[in-house]
Amino acid sequence: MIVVNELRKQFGQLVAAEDVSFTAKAGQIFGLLGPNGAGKSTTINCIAGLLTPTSGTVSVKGHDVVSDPLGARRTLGVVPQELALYEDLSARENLRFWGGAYGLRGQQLEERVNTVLSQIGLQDRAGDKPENYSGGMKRRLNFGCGIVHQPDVLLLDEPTVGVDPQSRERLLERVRDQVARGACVLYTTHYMEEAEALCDQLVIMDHGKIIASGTMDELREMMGERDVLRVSGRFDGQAVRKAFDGMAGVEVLQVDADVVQLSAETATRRLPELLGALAESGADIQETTLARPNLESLFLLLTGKALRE
Amino acid sequence: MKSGALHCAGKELRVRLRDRWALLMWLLVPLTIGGMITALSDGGQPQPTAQLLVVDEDDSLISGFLISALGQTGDAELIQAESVSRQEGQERIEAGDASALLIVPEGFGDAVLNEQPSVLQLITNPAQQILPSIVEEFLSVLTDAVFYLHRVFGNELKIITAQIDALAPGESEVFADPMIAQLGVAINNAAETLVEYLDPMALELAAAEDEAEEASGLTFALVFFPGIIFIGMLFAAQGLSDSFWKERESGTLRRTLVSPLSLTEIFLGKLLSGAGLLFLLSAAMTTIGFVYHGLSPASWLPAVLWLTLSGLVLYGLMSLVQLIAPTRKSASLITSILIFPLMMIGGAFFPFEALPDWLKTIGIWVPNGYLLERLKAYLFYDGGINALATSLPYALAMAGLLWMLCAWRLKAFAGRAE
Ligand SMILES: Nc1ncnc2c1ncn2[C@@H]1O[C@H](COP(=O)(O)OP(=O)(O)O)[C@@H](O)[C@H]1O
Ligand SMILES: [Mg+2]
Repeated sequence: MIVVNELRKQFGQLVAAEDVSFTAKAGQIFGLLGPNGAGKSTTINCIAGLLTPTSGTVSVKGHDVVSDPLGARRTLGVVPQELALYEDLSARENLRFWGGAYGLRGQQLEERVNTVLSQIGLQDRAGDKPENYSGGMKRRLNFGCGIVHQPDVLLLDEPTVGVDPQSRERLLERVRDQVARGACVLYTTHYMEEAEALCDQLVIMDHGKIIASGTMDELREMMGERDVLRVSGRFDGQAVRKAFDGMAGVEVLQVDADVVQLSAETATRRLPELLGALAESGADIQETTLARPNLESLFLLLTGKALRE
Repeated sequence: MKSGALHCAGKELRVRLRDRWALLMWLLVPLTIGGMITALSDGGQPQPTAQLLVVDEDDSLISGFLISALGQTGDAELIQAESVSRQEGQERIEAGDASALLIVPEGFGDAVLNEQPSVLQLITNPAQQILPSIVEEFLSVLTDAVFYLHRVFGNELKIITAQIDALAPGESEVFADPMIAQLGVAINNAAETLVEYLDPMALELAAAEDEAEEASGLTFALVFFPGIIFIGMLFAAQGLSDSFWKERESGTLRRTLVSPLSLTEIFLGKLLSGAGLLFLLSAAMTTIGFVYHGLSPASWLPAVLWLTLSGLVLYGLMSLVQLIAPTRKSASLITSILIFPLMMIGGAFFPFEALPDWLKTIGIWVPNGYLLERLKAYLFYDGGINALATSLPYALAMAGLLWMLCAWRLKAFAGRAE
């Protein structure tokens, strides 16, 4: 449904996306995970036709976004990262306008508007203007405006930023609905829990480049049969690195003044050894947790920095 | 394409109609100004004064009466008469220095007394349009008055004239004014005893005066009326033009760009909805003005259509400035400030009739000034519908050019939303 091939986008000297290639299929949630500034919005805007790629190609359902922009736009639904609503129009009128923008009219439009209103839980406030809404309600409406026309391909750019947990859950449910009816959803986020819980396929980006991609299982495999040990307390960075330097099967993911993360094979059995080495480096250990690897630790392994900074 | 543009226009209208305060403002500004000007002129505040040069070659009691009466137009001081020599008068009227030149020929007084025909010569300044017509109307009333005067007081006049003629030439000037005062007393005395004569005369005079007002047609407030509508149009155009930045800042412009709607449809939507609103606005203001001033309903539709077109020219101008400005703040600041010079020079605030000629010349080169001047030519002066028809191509060209420039700028403007 979405085919991105060697996409590159440059703003002057700044390379915002480089060598980005992936394919997102129908009936799938395809995730773009990465910290702020990784190039997620740049990539999604190239797909939406808002930005023209510096090089590379993007096609949506067979329509090249540069040579056949209208064909591509007709199949797309876009929920932008920033709210994009008419503050002077009610929720219902906003939905009507965006549905109409995709050619829906009359009875069909009204039915879709009513369905979406109940899906996003705004049927009781349908006549109110968004300026009187809470942040979460505005986000839901922003999302609703992108799905009135039931697009084959839905682009969602960080739709849950600034949303309370309840609204977020509801939104994620609605995203799953879209996939259930066969849509292809491209979902960007910097919340790794969200990506883990939602996405069938994932691309992890940093500094405009893809640093890992695959299904959740494939990505977990990249970590090997490793566990992640997280220790908090007070540490001397250099001493810690030195202590584990050359220790087989152990990798230092992160060293801060107050937290250290290690990945190790069969960490459960080697716990005394690992903690002993830490203590020897002069660390003051307060708390330890042992966990299965997740995207956070994968990101740490690949970039040496935390996803959220 | 058409359906998309209409869809956008419908949305624009809905947004606009929701903004009741802005709509009310666009109507209230001109209404308030119009109301104030009407109140001022009813209160006898200063009005434009016609400068009348008088050459009295007759130098008789009758001509003296006529001339001093010309200076007596009540509180309004519509006419300021100044006595000059024939040569000076002709020079000054040619230089455009006065509204009109009146020449009272030698033998005028005798002719009136003896019921002989006599001709008063009035030369008007072609550059001024209303003021000379005020002089003209007033003068025609006065000559009637002189005629009636003679009818009623013929004998008294003959006696007084004989007395004056008996005086030496030098004394004649000295005594001219007291003589007129004496004439006034005589008239008063006679009036008290000749009620049956006076009544029909007063009636006739009153009728003549009414007629005069209708013929010149232009009251002080009426001169202002079309300009005031233009003030409303300027404010409306400025208010409408804000929508490009509003859409860009709220993110809806970007969002529309990723939908199948084209930039052209967004653009046409704004143009169409603007035209609709400007039509409603000018229809409302024109109706109020027409009813108040009792103008002919036949000229209502041409006036409203012309005003709508004028509004579109101004809306295009304001939009272009908005689309060129680097930020929303500067866009809104520049367009709000721009209203004032356009209003002042373009004859909307100070009517052309009250502007010095050089300013008026500049004023009709300002888009709104030109459009307003044409409308006034149609409504008040002898232009007729031709005044609009012949200038329609220019007005359309202005609107077309401005909106084409807007369309061209909009591409870059939307691109900047990257
Ligand atoms: N219009 C632009 N002009 C210049 N630089 C931009 C523009 N848009 C994004 N960038 C830069 O490109 C990089 C990637 O930004 P973005 O794609 O928005 O990241 P993300 O969405 O992953 O947070 C950032 O360094 C950002 O500053
Ligand atoms: Mg982003």
